[in-house]
Amino acid sequence: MNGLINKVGVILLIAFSGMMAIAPLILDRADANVAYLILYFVALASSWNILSGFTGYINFGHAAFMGVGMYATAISIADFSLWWPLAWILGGVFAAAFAFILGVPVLRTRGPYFAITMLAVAEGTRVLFGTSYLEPITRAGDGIAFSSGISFQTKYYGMLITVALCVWVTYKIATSQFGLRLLAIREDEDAAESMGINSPRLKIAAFVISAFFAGLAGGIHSTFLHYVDPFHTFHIQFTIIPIVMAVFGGVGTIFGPVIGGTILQILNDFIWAHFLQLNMAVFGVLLAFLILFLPQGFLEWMKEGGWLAKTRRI
Amino acid sequence: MALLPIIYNALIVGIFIGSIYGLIAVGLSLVYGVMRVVNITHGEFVMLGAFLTFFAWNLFGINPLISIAIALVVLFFLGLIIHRSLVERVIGKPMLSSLMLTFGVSIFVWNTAQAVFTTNIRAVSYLGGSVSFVGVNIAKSYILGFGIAVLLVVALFAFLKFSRWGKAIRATSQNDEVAIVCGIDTKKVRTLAFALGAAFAGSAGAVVSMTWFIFPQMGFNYLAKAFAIIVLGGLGSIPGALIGSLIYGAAESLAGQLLEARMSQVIPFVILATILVVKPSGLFGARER
Repeated sequence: MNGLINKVGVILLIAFSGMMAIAPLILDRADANVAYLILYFVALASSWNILSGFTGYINFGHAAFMGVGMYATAISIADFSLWWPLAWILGGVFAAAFAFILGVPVLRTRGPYFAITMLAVAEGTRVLFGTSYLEPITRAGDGIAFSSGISFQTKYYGMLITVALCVWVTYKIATSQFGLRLLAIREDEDAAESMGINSPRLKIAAFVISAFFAGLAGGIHSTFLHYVDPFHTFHIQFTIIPIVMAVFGGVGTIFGPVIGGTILQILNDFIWAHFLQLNMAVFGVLLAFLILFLPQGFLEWMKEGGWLAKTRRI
Repeated sequence: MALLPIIYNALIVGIFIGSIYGLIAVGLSLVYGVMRVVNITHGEFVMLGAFLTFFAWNLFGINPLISIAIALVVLFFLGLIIHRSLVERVIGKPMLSSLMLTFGVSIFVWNTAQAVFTTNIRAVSYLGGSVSFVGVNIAKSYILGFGIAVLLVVALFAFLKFSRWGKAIRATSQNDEVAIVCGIDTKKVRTLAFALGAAFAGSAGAVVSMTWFIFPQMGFNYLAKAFAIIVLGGLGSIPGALIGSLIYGAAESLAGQLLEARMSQVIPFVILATILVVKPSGLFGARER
């Protein structure tokens, strides 16, 4: 029975990937936009999951990395007219570098200290990008408007490749010793350290990988928006929504963020269309509801109910 | 302009600002001490207290000074309801659950407030002007805030020190298992502590509405400040929170004078990062158990 369910799961996954791959070719532009935004939020949720899902360090400042990536790409195209693939990658690289510098002090903290420090980091980064100190680089509150001259399909496939890479890396981590060590940190950091696990180094590695994908996705998205400014770029919704998506699908699973991201982005699109003003409130309620009633997420709930094959919990 | 008078001015103003922050921080610290929950909704309680005062004054002409008491009572019961219906369910679960739950509630509250109150920036212009105090011009509202803060904090200390419920709160904070063994209903104690925390945040919000501008998303700023303060003083320690708030107020006021005004929003992070790197348990805190 398990074998059959697993096969159905694999077939569904292939069908889903295939659909996402041909979406921009068969859909009209408005629907293709929805598909693109699904990929974008899946990339954010999935990259958030790499640190927070495996190590249990709840990152409430994911928007900061996405935002740094957006700015890096925007500036390298607007001011240095860099070739776009390079600019995208620079987005990821800058976010990763930012995470590395930040991770050394911040990852010394644990639990609530880390969570709220990251909340303050995202807020602090937003303020910093809007101050006159960085104005020569970031143009402060005016933001940067630029044109990349890339077609929508290129951006779409760039994002698709980012998602695929991110999920593949998550899979590689989940099945590696590195992943096992991260999980050991999540379960009991002191015990893990006494077993000889170098937790600071591993946490920073996970943090940097997580930030890289957030920055890469942000970089691609900035060419989609043609505009970055501190208010929209570091908006807290880019932290909240990916977290709710990852929790919905299942924190610390490989495909949880993908499923959560897909379902909730379709919901998000609906909310935007109907109650724009309460967009965040709906996600707040959803988050509280998930924590109270489905703390393991949708995937685990399906497994409990026999809809999916039971697997080793990671 | 000479630097020394600026620093002197900033430090005196900082003590007044710090006392208002202290009112917010003691509530957060009390809740953390009793149930090991960092209540992310705490900032929203401040916001609700502020808006309650604003609308009471604007629509019904109620004196903001009376609203401080009203906010105290209303937020006490709101805290009671939120604790009983939501937060109590995640007590004893991993930190992740309570963080995410209160984060969700916080988002819900501010976004709803944004839709209902609109994003306009408001203020209660009740106490204008300033008076001279030890050679420094201090806004009257700061002095009022300082007075209210001292009054409430002394009341809280007396309550914790002398009343039965206060002793139960302290016992639960020190060791909840032993508290249960001694016949303390820790569930009730937690509810009381949470409601008290909310009440303090609400009354602080009433003071804030007379002192600074208010808007639906203001809660996060105060949460970040209060959190930086209780980390500074050691999580769960109420005297630590008070000393931390004075240090914090002075630091923020200095930074506001010497750097660009907006940089004061970055101060919580800078203080947090420094403290956590140098002494992760806070200045006065014991090691986490």
